[in-house]
Amino acid sequence: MKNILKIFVTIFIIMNYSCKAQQMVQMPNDAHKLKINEKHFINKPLKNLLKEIKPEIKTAWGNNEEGHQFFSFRFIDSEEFKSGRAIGKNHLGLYVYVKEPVDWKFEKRPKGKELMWTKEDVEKYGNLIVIRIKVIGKD
Amino acid sequence: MFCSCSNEDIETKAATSVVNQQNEVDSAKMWFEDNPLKNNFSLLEFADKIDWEKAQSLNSGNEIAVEVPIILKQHIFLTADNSTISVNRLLFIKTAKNEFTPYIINISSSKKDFDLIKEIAKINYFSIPNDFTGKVLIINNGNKSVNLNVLVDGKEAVQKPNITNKEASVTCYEVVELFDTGPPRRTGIIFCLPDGGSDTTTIPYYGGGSHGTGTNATASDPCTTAKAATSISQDSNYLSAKASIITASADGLEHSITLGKDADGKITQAPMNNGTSQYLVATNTSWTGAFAALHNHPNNTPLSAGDIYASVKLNVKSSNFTTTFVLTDGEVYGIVVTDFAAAQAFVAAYPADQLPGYSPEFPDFIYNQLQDLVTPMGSSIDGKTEAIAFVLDKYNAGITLLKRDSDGEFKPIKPQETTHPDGSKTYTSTPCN
Repeated sequence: MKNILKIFVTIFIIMNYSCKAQQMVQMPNDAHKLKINEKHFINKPLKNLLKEIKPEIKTAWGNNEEGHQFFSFRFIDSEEFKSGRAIGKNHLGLYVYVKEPVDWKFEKRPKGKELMWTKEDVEKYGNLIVIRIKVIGKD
Repeated sequence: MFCSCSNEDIETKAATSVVNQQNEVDSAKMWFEDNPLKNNFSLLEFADKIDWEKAQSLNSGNEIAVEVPIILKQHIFLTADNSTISVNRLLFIKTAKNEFTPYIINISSSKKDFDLIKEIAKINYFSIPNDFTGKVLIINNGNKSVNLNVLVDGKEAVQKPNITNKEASVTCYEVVELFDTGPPRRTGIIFCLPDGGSDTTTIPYYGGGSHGTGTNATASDPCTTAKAATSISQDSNYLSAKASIITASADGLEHSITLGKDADGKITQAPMNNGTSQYLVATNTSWTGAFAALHNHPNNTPLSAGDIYASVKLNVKSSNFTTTFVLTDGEVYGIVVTDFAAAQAFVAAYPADQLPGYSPEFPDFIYNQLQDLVTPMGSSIDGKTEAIAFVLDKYNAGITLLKRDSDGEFKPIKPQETTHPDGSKTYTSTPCN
């Protein structure tokens, strides 16, 4: 019995490791695969999509206009955007549109870290339902 | 190169084209005869003949015009310098089916070796030959001179014309009777205007349609565009329309009112159109003399890609329809198509990203740049509007964005980019004088 349990635990660990290694986005430019496989993420929670992204999301912000509720995810440092150096370079942009309003206010985010994407953000926004994906540019 | 079209097709098309041109002439003539009050030009009292047999219909893109020679009575001339060589025409610019805006055009040449009478067929509302040097006076049906194009070698010679520019030289045209001997007999009908000047925002630029391939500094200069918008915004009908929309917006929906102009050039307002959603309302484009529309953004959203592309569509529909006012978050923004050809080229090169069921957005290439600008310019309405203005200028869209300031004056939104040695960028605006 003990041996069977050990076997199951081992299999579980291997499977868990395998799933993570097969994340769709291994490098930033792989984000285009999210668009290609969009149907797997539409009408699903945002956290499902986020789980497929291995590289660190270094810059993010939310946009809450009627008909244009989305998150912008970038894989380069926020300082590039703040300084304007990113402009015109067509860095990879992952834009995930959600059904619900996005409760995002820059002035209420931690000062100096407004553009950081955190675990708390995943918790807060992870259940919003994805309705559209745009992936533009490359890093 | 082989053409697969048959001769019959070509002849049919040519015949259709001639029929269509004749239809436009007939339509203009019928409108002219049915609307005497709208065609009460004082110069016509001195006309011997309005030569409809020699009328021609012209079109360029979506714009249609009909020009009809006016033969004045013997010894009568409309002239600025007692010159006897000039050509007068009625110009009808089509604004809607069987509707026209009429003008009188006086063309005079100042080049001695240019035979105006011989070359006149080459000069029309859409085309001025490169060897033409002279003046084109445009008179509206209020018997007011509204534009005086001064051309040298086919191009506008006077930059930044402004009716309030006291330094501009003024030219006066008068209807006079000239005889071989003795002084001219003055009729008292006189039209004065600064050279290159115009005093309305919706007059044609002769030689390129109302959108001109030549420079038309009055239309394209952002500061002048802003002044024109300010002038509109001081009109009682504009103020009434704005108040009506603000009141109606309490329902959380979009509302729109179109502004037009009557035969006397006075601003009118159409009945309000009420939208059925927070981001959609139909614009009335059939209102007589329609040239602008106001609409609100419930939920205080910024100017959108949809607003920009719609403004160009409105201008395609009617050459006079250049201006959109957007009311949002207690502010008023303006979208003005100042260069129709450029705006059309922009829309063709960068068509809206339009998915069914979604509001239109800028295409990916521009969309990504707008997102890049969120952090340096800010995510506020002003910041996002500034970003759109920057990108529109970057791609020569021929569209000027404006914002009404606390003094009630519209100012252009024209951020200038400065790149620093470390690659960082900052954005500043240059105020109008």
